[in-house]
Amino acid sequence: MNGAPWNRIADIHNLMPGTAQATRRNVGFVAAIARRRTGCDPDRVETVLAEVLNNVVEHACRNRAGHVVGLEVWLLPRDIWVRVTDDGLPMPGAQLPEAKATPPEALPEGGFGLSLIRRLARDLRYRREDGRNILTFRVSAETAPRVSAPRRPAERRTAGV
Amino acid sequence: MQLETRRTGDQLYVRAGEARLDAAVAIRFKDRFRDALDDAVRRVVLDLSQVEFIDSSGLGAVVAVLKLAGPERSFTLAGLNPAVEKVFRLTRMDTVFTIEPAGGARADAPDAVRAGTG
Repeated sequence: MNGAPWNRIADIHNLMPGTAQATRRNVGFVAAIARRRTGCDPDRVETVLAEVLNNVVEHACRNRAGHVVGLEVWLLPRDIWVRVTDDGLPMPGAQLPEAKATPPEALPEGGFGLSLIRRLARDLRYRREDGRNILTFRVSAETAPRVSAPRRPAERRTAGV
Repeated sequence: MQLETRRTGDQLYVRAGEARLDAAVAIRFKDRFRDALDDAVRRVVLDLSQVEFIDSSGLGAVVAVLKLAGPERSFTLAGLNPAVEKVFRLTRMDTVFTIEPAGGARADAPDAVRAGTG
């Protein structure tokens, strides 16, 4: 990220396969750090990141092996910035689709992901660049910090998955 | 995918024994639930108390099993953790399920239910 903020608690830079299993491991890893180290709602972080990566695996990578997904996370005391990049198919029309609004009574079995992302993430942006999808968003603390956020130098973490 | 089931009369009690009901297990969850269902079952209780996280695929699978059970059977969700309940509420799917209020152990929750792995 250009001009990464000085007060970051930790950075995560990881490359993962575009699979549901890798999504599960990485989402759990990021949520655990968010829970311990930031004032952001870890449930919200976990949901948005899971849905973003689910979409990448399902639509960009089409559930086919061989894709590499870049996951970068910057943790601040009251914000988490995320950038997800992948070498899969572009979004239709090279833009983020609108969330479908199927009424609950119709018992939809899908279409929840994008509406959850749009409700819980801020500054959601998508672009296609040099054959890669780049999605960035932010998840913020809504109220007072849950923990007194530690002020210590940023450290680099790698998920190792 | 762990799915623990117990039959008591015409009631089928199903406990999802997974901490994460997500895209990695959603299809197997649906398939195993289908296997556990039979014509004699009139009431279904799906206990999600072991589930700490659910994503859109997991939610879709829970909707799918509600449809598998069909309108002729009663279908109740029990043991929703706060993070799981939040996803149901945000998607408004809480309006189409019978959800047991949180807290209080179920009288019919078996200590040792038949465990299935797979």
